[in-house]
Amino acid sequence: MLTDQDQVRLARHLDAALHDASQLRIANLALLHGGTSRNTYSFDALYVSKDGPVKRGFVLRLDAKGRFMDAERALEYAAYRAVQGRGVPAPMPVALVDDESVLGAPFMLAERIEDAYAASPFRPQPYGIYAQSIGREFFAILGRLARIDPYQTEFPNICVIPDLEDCWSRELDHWSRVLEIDSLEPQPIAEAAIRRLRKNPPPPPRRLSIVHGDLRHGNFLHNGEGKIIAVLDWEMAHLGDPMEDLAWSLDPLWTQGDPDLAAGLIPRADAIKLWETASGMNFDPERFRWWSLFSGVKGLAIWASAARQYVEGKSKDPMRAFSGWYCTTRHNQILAERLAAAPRGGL
Amino acid sequence: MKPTLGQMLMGAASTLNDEIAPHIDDGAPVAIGHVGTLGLILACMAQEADRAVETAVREQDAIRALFADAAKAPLPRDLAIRLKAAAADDARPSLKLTDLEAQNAKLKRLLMTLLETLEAEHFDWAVALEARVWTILKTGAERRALYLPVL
Repeated sequence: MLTDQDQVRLARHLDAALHDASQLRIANLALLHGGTSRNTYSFDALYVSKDGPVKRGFVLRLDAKGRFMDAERALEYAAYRAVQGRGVPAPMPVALVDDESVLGAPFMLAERIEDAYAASPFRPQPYGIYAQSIGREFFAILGRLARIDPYQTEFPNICVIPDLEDCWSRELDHWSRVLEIDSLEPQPIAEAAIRRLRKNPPPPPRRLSIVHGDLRHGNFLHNGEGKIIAVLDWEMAHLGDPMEDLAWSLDPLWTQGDPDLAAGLIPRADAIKLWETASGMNFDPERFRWWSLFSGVKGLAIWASAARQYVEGKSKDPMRAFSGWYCTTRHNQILAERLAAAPRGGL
Repeated sequence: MKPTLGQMLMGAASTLNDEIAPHIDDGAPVAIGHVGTLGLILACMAQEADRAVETAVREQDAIRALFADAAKAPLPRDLAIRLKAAAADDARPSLKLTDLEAQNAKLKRLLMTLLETLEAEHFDWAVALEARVWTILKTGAERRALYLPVL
């Protein structure tokens, strides 16, 4: 938790950053749940502007001390900026601060989204009667993200621009490495899947898109009345094949047991149609087949990292234990069923 | 009759969800989130408690039976020797879950080597053995499947 002195330094920093603010002080500071890669706080900034007293909500994303995530923080900040005004709701970024002297670690500030709700992907019917409207909006947002021309944003300045032919290998190399480093137990199913993926590379996309990297239900805020008001957790954003995000969002892990319901929300065919309309792209079954198998491998790598952090005592967050167990078990089941049924050596 | 482990764990999950979570202040979102997750973990433990040893033992038996047959196939000599030795080494010095899982991990490492070797072969015997590997992996994954309850 931030100390009183931290809050004074944060207030001083924000006071200077906002230009039109004076006498700024921090109130109602609270640590938020989720945001497993770094600590996320909500607070009110109370200050005087030229128009009078102001109360404004902010969210602070603070790196863990000694575990700075420069690339992820910069990417997340760039992503917030890139999607503003382009049909993909995201928090308005306010400041990216590398100076460790303020809070002891680098951080990012964004405007707080008010009257917003998050839902766990592991709870049944998390959106109740609004499942249809949330589902339709979710897949349209996914499509609008794919439609954005990354060269009209600052993304190409801060992340690798892969050749179209290398989108798949870059991601597979990365997540294979994570799996190799973080696995606490043998991964026969994931390793077999990796070999099949390398043996059967997908066709390249026609152009690069901004890929969120973890766009699924549970990673956005909604207003409680069927409207998505902010997509969160952009720290895995990169440039690549938009089929990657679509495959991840349609992964059976998120379907809540009904394989015909995309993300457990709307019929799968409707979701794909909405994505095509919003993205202006065609759904490519061949590329999708590859990226959907890849999703299972990537998932197993993420859950392996979570499990390791929990087992080694680097995090006591029970979500890491849960995802390291339940999600690993589920993804192994999904991949084993698929690979056992696939043509020998194929996808 | 005493309550089973599964009953107690599931009961604890329900108590957390129904009787403790509603009393946590709205201003403590981290605590609310953690309590929800702990409920899910307890519900998963309730499913696993009774079956974990059986799952591990049955998997070991299936892998050793496969190794015994695979050792007779025309595989590289070094691999065949390792398969034969692993198939014969069926002693269970302990039925503690941690010990059984360590044994399973050792067997699975060899299973991975076998699978990768079989994938490079195109003879019928290799195709048949590879299918048996996938049956073992699929069955193991199904036996460990966890279902999230409506708490």
